[in-house]
Amino acid sequence: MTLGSGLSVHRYPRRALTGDYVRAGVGVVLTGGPLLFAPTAPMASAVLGVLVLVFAGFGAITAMRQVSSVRLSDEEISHWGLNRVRLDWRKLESVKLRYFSTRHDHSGGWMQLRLSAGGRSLTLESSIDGFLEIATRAAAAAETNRLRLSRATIGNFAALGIVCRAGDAHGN
Amino acid sequence: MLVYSIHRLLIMIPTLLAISVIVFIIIQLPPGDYLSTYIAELQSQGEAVNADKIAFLREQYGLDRPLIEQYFRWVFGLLQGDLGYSFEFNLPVNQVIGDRMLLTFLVSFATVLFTYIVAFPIGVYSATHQYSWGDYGLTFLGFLGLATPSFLLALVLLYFANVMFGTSIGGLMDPELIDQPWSWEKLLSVLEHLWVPVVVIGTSGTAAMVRRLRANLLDELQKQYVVTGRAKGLPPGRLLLKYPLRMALNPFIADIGTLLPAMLSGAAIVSVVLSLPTNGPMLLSALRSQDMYLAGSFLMIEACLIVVGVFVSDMALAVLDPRIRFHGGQAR
Repeated sequence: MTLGSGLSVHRYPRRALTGDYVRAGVGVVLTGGPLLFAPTAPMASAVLGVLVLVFAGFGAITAMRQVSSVRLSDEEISHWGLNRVRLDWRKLESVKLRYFSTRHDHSGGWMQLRLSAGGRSLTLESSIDGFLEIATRAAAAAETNRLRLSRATIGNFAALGIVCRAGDAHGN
Repeated sequence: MLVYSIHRLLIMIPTLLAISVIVFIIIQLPPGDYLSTYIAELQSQGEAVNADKIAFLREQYGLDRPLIEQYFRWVFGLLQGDLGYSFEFNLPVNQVIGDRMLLTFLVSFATVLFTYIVAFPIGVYSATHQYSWGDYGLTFLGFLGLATPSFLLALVLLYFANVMFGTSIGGLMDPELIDQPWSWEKLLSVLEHLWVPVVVIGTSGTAAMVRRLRANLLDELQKQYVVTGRAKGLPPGRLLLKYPLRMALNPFIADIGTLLPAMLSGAAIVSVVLSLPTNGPMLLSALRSQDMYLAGSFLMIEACLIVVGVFVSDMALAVLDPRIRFHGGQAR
């Protein structure tokens, strides 16, 4: 959603959140079920217990995403929700764009954009609406601030059609 | 990263369930069961078979129950740390495989260490000194290592170890120490015997790794960023270690998936030739005698390790190389 004076608001669409809720729920049931309904060895209990916590934590993070929004302007990017983060583009210190896929041929994956400034960081998944707009703005800020981007980040920006000229490439 | 790990974990759980079903079906596939094999064995030796006793045993081990019930009993037993009962050894599977797991892990861990320690410097040297005498010599040795059958190398090394160092033939320790409790003497004996299986099992893996590392590194060394780094005056050692070598390591990280189960399976044929008290020969014997819970436990443990190993390697690759592949599909 675009507001006046170059401000736009971005949220995670319901379809993406529903998928994550289902994943969290299925995970909790599959790992918590045996804990509740079958006697398990201490080792198995520990492993299953940790997995239940991980899936429940993921469900909680998904709920936090549902009530949050990201506001993008020419001056800053801010995250509104239970934890509020505001990053000034001029003070941006680090930009990382990573790609994840669970398939063998690396297709059908998703991206994750991580921005850091002044000890605060903001992580966004590519399922958020208007991700391309946010990524374009982040790449522009990286170029303005002459940030060094990793080769993976530059390659991933290129896959989105964004050409980065920021600093030198380093590492992965 | 959390989202990625959740996706991967959610793939792991049904995979393990599917594997457990497949393993159970495989160990049930041969006609009959352990008791039928046992009866046939007794009859071939001309001994009488007590039908009542067989019926009692069949009932006691649950072999008369429907397959689906046997499967669920087995799976819930696994969750409780009960791997079942070995008919052949008349002992719980946990007790049967306990010591063997330790020795198998020792042999396999030493083999992996040997492989990495030998293969890395040779692979890097071969790639950075391409077409030199050293490269040709090491390549020749590599092909020799790949082409030599492990069991043949095992026999040759056993002979030389016995003739030159007086090491007893076969096994992982001197025969008089086999049933003794662990002591310095026993540990030293194990170390004295260990190098033969380590070299035998590790040779082909080392040769294969040298070839792959050399090929991957050569690919990377010819890329433009390396030329640019060189032109900018980066010291050769730093340039090599920081960029091309890191990129060339990706296939080895992906190999963790197969490394973990290999650590516990123990090369079966070589273990038979060397009379090693490891898992491989016991798995073979369990499959032949239809000792279903023993064989099933081995297969299930290995399957779990493969799934966990692939998970670990995928996570490591996601951390080290989170790039999109252009031949792949679109980002979500």
